[in-house]
Amino acid sequence: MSIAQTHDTRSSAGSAVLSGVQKLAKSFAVILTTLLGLLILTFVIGRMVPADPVIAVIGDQADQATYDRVYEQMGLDRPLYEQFATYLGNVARLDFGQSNVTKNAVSSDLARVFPATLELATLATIIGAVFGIPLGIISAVRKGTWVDHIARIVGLLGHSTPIFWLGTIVILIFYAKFGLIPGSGRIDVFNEGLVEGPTHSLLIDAVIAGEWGVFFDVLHHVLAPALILGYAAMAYLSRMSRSFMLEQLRQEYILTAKAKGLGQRAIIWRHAFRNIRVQLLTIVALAYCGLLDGTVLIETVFAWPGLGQYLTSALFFADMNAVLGSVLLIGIISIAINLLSDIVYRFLDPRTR
Amino acid sequence: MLWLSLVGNPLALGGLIVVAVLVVISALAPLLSTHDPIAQDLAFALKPPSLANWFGTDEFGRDVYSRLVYGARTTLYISILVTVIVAPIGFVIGATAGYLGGWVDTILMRITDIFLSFPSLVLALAFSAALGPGIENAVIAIALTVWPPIARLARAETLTFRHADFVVAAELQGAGMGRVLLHHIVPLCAPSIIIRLTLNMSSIILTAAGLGFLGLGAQPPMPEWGAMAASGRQYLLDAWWLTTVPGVAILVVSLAFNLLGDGLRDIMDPRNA
Amino acid sequence: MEMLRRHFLMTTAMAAAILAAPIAATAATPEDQLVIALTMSSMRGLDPNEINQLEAAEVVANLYERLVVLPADNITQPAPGLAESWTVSDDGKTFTFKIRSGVKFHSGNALTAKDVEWSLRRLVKLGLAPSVDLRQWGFKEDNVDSLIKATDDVTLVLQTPEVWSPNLILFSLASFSTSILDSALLAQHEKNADMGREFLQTNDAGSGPYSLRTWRSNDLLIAEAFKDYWQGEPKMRRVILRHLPESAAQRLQLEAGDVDVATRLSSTDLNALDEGGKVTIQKTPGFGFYYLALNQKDEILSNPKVREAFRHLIDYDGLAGTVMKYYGVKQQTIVPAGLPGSIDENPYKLDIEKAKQLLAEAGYPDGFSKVYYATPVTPEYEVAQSLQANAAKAGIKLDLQGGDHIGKFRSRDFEIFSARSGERLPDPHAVLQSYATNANNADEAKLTGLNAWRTAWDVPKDIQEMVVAAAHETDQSKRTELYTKINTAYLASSPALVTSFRRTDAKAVRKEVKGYVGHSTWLTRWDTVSKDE
Repeated sequence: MSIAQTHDTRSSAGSAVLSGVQKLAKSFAVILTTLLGLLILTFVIGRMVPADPVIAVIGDQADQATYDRVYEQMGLDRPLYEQFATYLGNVARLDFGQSNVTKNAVSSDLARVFPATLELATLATIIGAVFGIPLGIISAVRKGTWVDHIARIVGLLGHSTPIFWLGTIVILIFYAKFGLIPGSGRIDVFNEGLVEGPTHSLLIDAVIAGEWGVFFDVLHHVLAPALILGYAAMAYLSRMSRSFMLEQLRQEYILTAKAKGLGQRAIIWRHAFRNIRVQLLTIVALAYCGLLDGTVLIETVFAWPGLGQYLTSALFFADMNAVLGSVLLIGIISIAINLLSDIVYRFLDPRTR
Repeated sequence: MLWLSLVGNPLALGGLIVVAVLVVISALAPLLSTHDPIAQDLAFALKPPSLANWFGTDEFGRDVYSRLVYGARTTLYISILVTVIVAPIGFVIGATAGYLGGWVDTILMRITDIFLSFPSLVLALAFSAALGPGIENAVIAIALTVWPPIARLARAETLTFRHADFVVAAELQGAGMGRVLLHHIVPLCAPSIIIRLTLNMSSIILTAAGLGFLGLGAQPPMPEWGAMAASGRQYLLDAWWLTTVPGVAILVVSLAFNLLGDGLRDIMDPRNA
Repeated sequence: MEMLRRHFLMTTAMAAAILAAPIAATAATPEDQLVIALTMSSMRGLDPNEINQLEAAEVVANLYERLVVLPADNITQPAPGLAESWTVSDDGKTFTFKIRSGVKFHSGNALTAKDVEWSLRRLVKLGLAPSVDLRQWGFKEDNVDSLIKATDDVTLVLQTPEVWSPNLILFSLASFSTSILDSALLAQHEKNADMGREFLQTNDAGSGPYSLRTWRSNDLLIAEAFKDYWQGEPKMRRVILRHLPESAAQRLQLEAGDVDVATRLSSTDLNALDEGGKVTIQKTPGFGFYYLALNQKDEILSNPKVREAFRHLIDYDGLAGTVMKYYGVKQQTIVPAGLPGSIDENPYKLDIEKAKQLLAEAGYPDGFSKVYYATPVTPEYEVAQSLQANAAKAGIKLDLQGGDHIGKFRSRDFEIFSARSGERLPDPHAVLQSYATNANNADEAKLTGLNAWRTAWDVPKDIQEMVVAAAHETDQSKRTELYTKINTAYLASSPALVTSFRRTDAKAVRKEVKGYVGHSTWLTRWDTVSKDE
């Protein structure tokens, strides 16, 4: 659940030297090498999984002839570098191979499970931002007061709670004891298949289709896992926004503004907040990345049919193609989000502009 | 001086006390436990907390309290071992990159970025699945995910001091890279890296627990809090104590490390206070 | 500042409101739908000639039909299915089936003997895991075209290369793998001469009472009643399978009435449901065992006294009352109870002192250390941990390593291994073939399908000979006699494959659900289900 990642302070020096094209080419090369590294890493991990992928396909009792046939069919008899080359070629064509467990193309599996994770992580990030950022700013403004202390403890608690455990306890209390939340899944079985919309986000699709019953059912299902993940995100976001705000409040222009007799609200919102907007955006993006992590465990607890569950079950069943595909997807998304926040940072931040 | 500041910060002091208690419990586990943590008694399975078994018994009739006490050892073992592995590796990679610059820097930082671009649990999960279950493998898997931020930090810190007068002076006197790093950079980087490592402890503990939860960490009969919470989940409705007790233990210890790290940062790095 | 705080309070209040919003009470499942909670993690595709696993078999059992039916309540008595009747030639090698006419596939195509011919040949030719159902009787790619033939639209002639007990052949033709497929439909969907494999992973081509509507792996499967089913449209309009890996979740939803049947529950949850009164617990006996394999290539473990010592280290009675209460029935003999030749004899019990004595006699008074592989799933892992604890008391240190070790077991790369097996023929031969025959114990022989070879156990020759003879024997009373002998001999042989419990599969069924009867060869039917409130 570690959301925090160190972020380099980007230097603006030398940016004038590089032309826009050069800069673009350079960052493109950086992405490519990172991606290649990612591919190698995932491939190595995939081949190291100790469970025998052939037996995962043919089952325990099959005889040796069957075993050999499937072994060849899966291309495992060829040398490793050849397998990697084939894999690379396929990935370039966005073909992640076939899953041994689901028997579907991994890409179509990912297209199915990823929106579920995205929906959960997005909602959690929104919850985290809506509560965390104001909390952080309040505690910065009222530094040292009880508000600050409580906010700090809330934040640290969020950092320290084993998320799978919290999920389990929430199920025990709110589902088992009080029946307030559904125990698992994304949607009630009997609403299944009522909305099949363009976005694959059941919430949005339900709204588009005007199926309000389905919408509330889905909301009801997503609420508990999203709140738990959102709490983790909130913990991180409130801590970060507190320290950003503190830094701003120490700046000279704030003192000047105060001296000019500007009201506190105006100072915070019109000046200080405006200056940390970009930083906030960056950490929200990072929190979003970190939530991909959190979903792995929370999806197991809530039987959420998303990427996290897909990945863990693939790992346990030696489903190499599925493992590679989903780890790669997570890696690519992390790179993309980091890159995006980087770009936003470069173009919006008044100091690097 | 450090001590005084810690005393003045009750939250950090609380964290320190909990950590100290954890160490004491681990050291004195045989004395503090009331039962053999691995002795089974199927006839006495899933008993609720009582005077004989303070936190009840598990599905094999083992005493949960004693397993919790011994589990502290496992937790401490994992987090210390990871830290001991990661601190020098992260420092050497980061400091070398920062000190030498150029293509060495580019390559090392690219590798760091590749590792960083994975969410840490996913990476640890993938590695420990690949290495096979077991506590040593879990340590390696976690270490593989923890070193990159340390390397980044060490590099940033090294860059700050790279062209400082005393470094240049040492170089002029003919000191090699190893000597400069060891004698001049290490002492300066140490505080921020220590803070970072302390704060990391909590995420190491949580990741270890998460791996244990998924069955990839410590193997039976070794007591480990995450695995205890996970196996207890099967009996959640009838034996709440099985999941609740180790979960609270993980929470308390991880919170303690966070409080301590936070406090240390306040003291050593006042900008964030 | 004020605004900030107001904003904060408002969002907090909003969240609280959503949380506290009145929530519709959990409703019971509709009267014409059956909801089954299960674990889908190991369901791989739905091709009857490829799957090899209980959950998928139950789905295939209802999407497809077979020539022969083994009724759940009379499992050893083959009854007509798609075959109206059959005759066996006097030499026991030619089976002639009269195929039922008027049966339609879901596609609307009529089912003929040609489809039967094509389906059985496909099983053998694809040669995937379940093909052993026919291959073990000598059918191969190169002889199946001449041995299995449709002579007209309603007649199928099947010849066996050797003489086998006719029941073995008939039982095999009742297995999920010998389901009859819609050959015309699959011809349309054939890709690269794959005989429709790709299509069948996620589609059905059957004639069974249900047709597949939706399947999302690890999530959900919906099957719909087939209106033109030849035995009449089933009562349940839809059958819904939900992936619910957590036992606690299954139990809660079962109690709340959100699901009708749950199939992967832990012992404690089953116990609680049993006492709750709303649910019936079915213990469906299977034909496999919970076993302990001691690698005979290991010097210590190949000592008969050491093997015998392990039999005294299993807490049969402690486990039977707790962990194994619903998962198995104590059985130390090798012929599954209820089958010809079974005997009710369990002479062993947990006896640490006796084990110590045997170890001392074997020359290991101080015990030894071994690596022990087991799969970390309930109840196998609990059984393994229990053995580990008892062995420790006798001085044997077992380093238990959880994980998927079947591959190592198959390649003889282990010391001690335990798991459970899932034989599917209601005949002693299925278990005995795997546990008590090993024609060639050499590494190169690679008889990797047999537990005895995997364990490197050179089974006593007299036992092996009897097993082979019994399979070829056509006189049922002589077979019974042979199996009784084998059973006694196995028990006395200090086997390297120690059986402790006969496998049972527990299903929890809500009381208002009638006609859902667990099937010992994994073919539980849905078309017999009805609900009365």
